[in-house]
Amino acid sequence: MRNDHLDETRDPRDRAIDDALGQALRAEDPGAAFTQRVLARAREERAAKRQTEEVLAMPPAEVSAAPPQVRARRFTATRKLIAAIAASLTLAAAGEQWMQYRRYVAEGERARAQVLAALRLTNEKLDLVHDKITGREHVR
Amino acid sequence: MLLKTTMTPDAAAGAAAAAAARTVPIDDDRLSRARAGDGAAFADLVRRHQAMVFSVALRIVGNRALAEELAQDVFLQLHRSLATLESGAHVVHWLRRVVSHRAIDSARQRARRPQASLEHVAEPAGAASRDGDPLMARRLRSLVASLPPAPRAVVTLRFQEDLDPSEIARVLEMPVNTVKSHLRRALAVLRGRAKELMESA
Repeated sequence: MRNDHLDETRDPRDRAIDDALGQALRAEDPGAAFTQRVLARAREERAAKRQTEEVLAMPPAEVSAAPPQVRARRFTATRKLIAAIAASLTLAAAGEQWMQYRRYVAEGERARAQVLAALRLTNEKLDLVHDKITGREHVR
Repeated sequence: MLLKTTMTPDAAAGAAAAAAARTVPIDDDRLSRARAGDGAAFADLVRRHQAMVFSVALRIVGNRALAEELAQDVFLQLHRSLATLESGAHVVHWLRRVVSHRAIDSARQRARRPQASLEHVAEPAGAASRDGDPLMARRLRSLVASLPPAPRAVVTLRFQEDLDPSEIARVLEMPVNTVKSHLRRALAVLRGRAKELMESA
């Protein structure tokens, strides 16, 4: 190995360990099956690339063999489908918004009723206290 | 600081064998043919470099299946990049660089996820039989696997590929002093633990 001559003074045990390390980390061949797998994958990749290149090299008329009227009809149908999906999604979103608003209003109503009931109870209790303080008989 | 040692005669013989098996760059003619789509030339290129690519990946990620997948991906990337490579030496450098970076990234990702200990990963039968002391070799590989990914890559390139720090720095795209520092600290740890193992044995 390189630089070996520069290192005569090293501890013999260190030298032995380094030699053992060199042997332990020696390259090992993964075998012929590995080569075959790499080549097979390379072939697949090459074939896929060739196919893509062939499709890209075709003139647009060959890519879609349908006549222009048919292509125009397909285009219109596709646009209609997209519009219908978009409208459905919009309606669904609006419905959800409306339901959410209704829930919000109902919660507000419930809270208002609770506050009013609490005020009424408080009012009654205050009346009782006032009657006791002024010595009047509670007549209810 | 010097980072390589003088070898014993046995180790020198092993190193000579390793050097003989070391990656030999493909010649420019075959590279040109591989670039032009010659499957046989590309197969030759893969065969010449697969041991290096797979072993670097294996030492860094510590998992055979993952290392094989990673090595295959590297060769596919090479297949796509052949037009940009100028010579056999360039191919070797490119492969070392790409596999090291990919393996370090993969090891870091794996470190963030729970996983089985690297010590439980079975070693191949072939690797053990080649080594002088299979038990020691296995322990050393486990010790290397316990290092953080970057120092692990540095140690692997140093001892498997026999690269000097400046070459490792070019492959890993890090400063030479960082490489030296990784190597010095990693070797201190490895030697310390290996001595403990030897003494306890």
